[in-house]
Amino acid sequence: MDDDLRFKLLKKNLNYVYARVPHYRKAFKEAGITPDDIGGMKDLPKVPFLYKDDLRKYYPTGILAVEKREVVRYHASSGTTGKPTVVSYTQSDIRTWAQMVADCLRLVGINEGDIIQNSYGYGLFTGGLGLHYGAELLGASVVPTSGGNTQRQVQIMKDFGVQVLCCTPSYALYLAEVVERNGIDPHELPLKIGVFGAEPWSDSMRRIIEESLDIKAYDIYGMSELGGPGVGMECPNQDGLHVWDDKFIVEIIDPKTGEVLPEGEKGELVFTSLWKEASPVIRFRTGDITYLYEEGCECGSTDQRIGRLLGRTDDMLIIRGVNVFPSQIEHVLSKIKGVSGHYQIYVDRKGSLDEMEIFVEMTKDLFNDSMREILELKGQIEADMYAILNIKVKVTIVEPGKIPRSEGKAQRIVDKRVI
Amino acid sequence: MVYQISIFLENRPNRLYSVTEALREGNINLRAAMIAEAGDFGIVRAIVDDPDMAFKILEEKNFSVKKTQVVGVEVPDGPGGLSDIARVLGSNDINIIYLYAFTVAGKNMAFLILKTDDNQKAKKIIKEQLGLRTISQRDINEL
Repeated sequence: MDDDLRFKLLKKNLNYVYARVPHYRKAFKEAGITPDDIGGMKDLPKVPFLYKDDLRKYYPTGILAVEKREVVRYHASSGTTGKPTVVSYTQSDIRTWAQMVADCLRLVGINEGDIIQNSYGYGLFTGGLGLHYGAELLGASVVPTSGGNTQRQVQIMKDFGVQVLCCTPSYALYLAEVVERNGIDPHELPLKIGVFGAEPWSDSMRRIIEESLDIKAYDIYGMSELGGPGVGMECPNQDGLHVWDDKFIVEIIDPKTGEVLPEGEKGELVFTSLWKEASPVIRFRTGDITYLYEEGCECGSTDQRIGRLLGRTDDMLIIRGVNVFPSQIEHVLSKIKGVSGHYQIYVDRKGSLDEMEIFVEMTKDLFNDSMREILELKGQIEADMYAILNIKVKVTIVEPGKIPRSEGKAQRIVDKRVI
Repeated sequence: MVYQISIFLENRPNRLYSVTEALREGNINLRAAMIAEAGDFGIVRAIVDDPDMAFKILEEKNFSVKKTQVVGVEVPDGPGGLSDIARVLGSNDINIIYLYAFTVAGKNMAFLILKTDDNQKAKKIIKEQLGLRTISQRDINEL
């Protein structure tokens, strides 16, 4: 897309947030700038960053640039200390988002009339409804299975003649196992394309999914703060994710200094939205690490292209597509009487599903010879974790002193997953 | 009443040994012991000749340890001994939470260790309705 036109869009958005959102006005003032100081794309680095923590402060409406009554939908993702980050959408936001998702699906050859099984969770999580609206707009036939009940998912996949599967890559692996267990030959299923995202996955995992389901598997990128899935999408070349030039400006920065890095260098992904009305983001720091491609794609597209995700700048874990911060776990534990501050989070992939286990130390005060009380405590922690994280967590209570102590930053997370 | 030592342990190899070895080093003699398990963890309960010392040793070793009172009963070593106790406690609406038993060489008696939801009442009923002798910590020490 033409740089002048893009800059016009950027400028329009800067003026928009400055006029409508006190947070941005304040941040711009603190940085000593107004939108007038941004005279070209080269001036973008003068604009202050927006952090996830900033957004958390605007619970429960999100960072809002429109009247509340103009909001037609809310989505939310987990925040770092228990409060979710809320993202709001106007009627137009929902339409544009659906268009973006539809364009993503079209990019990999999904067409009107294709039967799409959408196994992303429906609800506050953007995955389910995001893919749903995009697929419907495309004119595909959507089977909204949402997550869970895998046996039934496989039955539906077979009976409905599903051609496209949308879900997290780990769930795709699990589905493949259940397909096999049911004695179904994947070659005989009409399934041909998978659209997988919401968690990082490697090329080796892609090969396993592609072989076991006999499909082509594509990576889709998104994040609720950016609107949801459909922010970036691979094309049939499977070489980097395309990000629509007229929807976002992508920068890669050094997470420590905040300096913009040249194309090809690894750093933190920063997004500026050019389309969002209700919750616009300007220089939003995603915490995701990747790099920008220097050239256009072989497919002919000249849109910006990002590499697949390489990691995170923070300690956020993605478990079955759900964002989990160790601080949320700490928050839950701190509210339970008698639990020590020592805990460890152990993440592994059993079969193909992520499993999270939290080790909590039994304290001397807590123990009183009653088996029932220990089991109740374990049950209570598990229930509290589920209430906050919305995923099942196994709690194991260990003897005092059994969780490794460290002199510096505690090693809270042991992630054994090979992705 | 008899004092029992309870220890919280993870349910994996070598954990019991860490307790028994600490007790050996402290010259503590075990009269009876049982392990209750619940998946990843368990509770070891033991009757020893010196519960105060045992508690101190284990606490210093950083175990989750508790000293609790339980009912000790001397029962004639023959058929029906336990059944009588279960009957009188049940008919008085006392719930047995756990129990274990041991015998001592040369004595024609079994010793029952009981934890109920009302230890005082249980002790009284066993004495009054069955005429059995409940034992004290001193009895344990002298066995």
